[in-house]
Amino acid sequence: MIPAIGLSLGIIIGLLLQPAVPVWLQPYLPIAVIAALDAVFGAVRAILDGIFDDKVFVISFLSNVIVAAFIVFLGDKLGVGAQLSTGVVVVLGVRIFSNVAAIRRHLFDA
Amino acid sequence: MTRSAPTDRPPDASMTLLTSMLQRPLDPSYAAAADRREAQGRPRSTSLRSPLLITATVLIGLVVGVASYNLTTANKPRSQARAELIGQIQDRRSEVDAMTAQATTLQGQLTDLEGEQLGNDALANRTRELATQVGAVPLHGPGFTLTLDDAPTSGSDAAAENGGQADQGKVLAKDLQYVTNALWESGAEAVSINGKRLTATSAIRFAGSALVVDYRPLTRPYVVTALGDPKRFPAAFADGAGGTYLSTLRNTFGIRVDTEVSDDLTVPAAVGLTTRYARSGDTGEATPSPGTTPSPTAS
Repeated sequence: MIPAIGLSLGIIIGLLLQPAVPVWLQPYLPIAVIAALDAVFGAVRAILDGIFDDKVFVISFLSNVIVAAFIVFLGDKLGVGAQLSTGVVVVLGVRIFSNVAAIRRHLFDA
Repeated sequence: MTRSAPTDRPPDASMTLLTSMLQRPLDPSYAAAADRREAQGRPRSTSLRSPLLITATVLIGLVVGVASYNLTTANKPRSQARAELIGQIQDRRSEVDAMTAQATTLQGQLTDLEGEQLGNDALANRTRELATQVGAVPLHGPGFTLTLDDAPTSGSDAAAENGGQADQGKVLAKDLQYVTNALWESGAEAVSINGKRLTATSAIRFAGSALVVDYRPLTRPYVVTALGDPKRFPAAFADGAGGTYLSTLRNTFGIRVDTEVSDDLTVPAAVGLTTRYARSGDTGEATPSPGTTPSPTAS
């Protein structure tokens, strides 16, 4: 419950403060959101599996964001930014789907 | 090459990347950390109240919130400018419409006054006859309307964005030109498209993806009103090249075509019937008859 409250608090702060993100950072925002979602669903699954670990969660979130941003940055420099962004989205999307499926099995036995 | 002997390799060994991605989506480090904790005699799962976790969740929420705010407002200036331009276009268009209506009214008054002044002699009759033919006065009489519309599948904007194939089921300037020419050919005495009278100087053209008649864009459906001899004209058109062309449009490209014969149709007067460079010669005599029908449109 407390993590969910923290999450909502963060979203509300972000929406209320409305900080302007510099233009050079904007291509990384969608990637960051997807990496964050991946970490969150992974954490929920780990909680349901009974093997949650806060350090692993924080490290996996940070490393996801950093690696995804780095791949996109590298792709931009190499001129294949769009393709590499797609690759990141596909990999993280598949992970999110499988984690959600596992969560669904836990919650609904289906 | 012969088949090698069966080995212990799993059949999907060449797809290990996909397999591992699909079957082990959870970070293995969660399991590893749980095992480590268990070995140390602590519970497998940590508490959900650690400050580290709360900080991380707030951070994630912040990322999501900031991203959703920034990504939804990123296009705001562009959409604002776009809305402004659309507004300007609509303003100008309604202005033009109002002025067109005014011009039509004034032209009607002018024609009436001219008629009063000229009386009823031969010259006045000649003027009236010419005005009828060049499109200076509104006409009404028997005739029929042709309603042309894009094929149902290509009408949406989504299809237009696909380009290429989308043009298949669209009414083109060429189609309207052909139909109009066929109408003149089969004896139409006056033709209007979407309430725009066609005259000797009218042009039906394409501008981008919009159909333009006399520099005014048309919106679908395209309603062509043609006046002519009720006994002969509709049949002549249907049997002639125009009818054939329309049935080809309908059958091959799915363009919707509706024909409606009516006893009393109205064709408005043309607006802006002036010549800018050409000048008439001696005005003492009635000028020679300028051909029985206005020449059809040209592209």
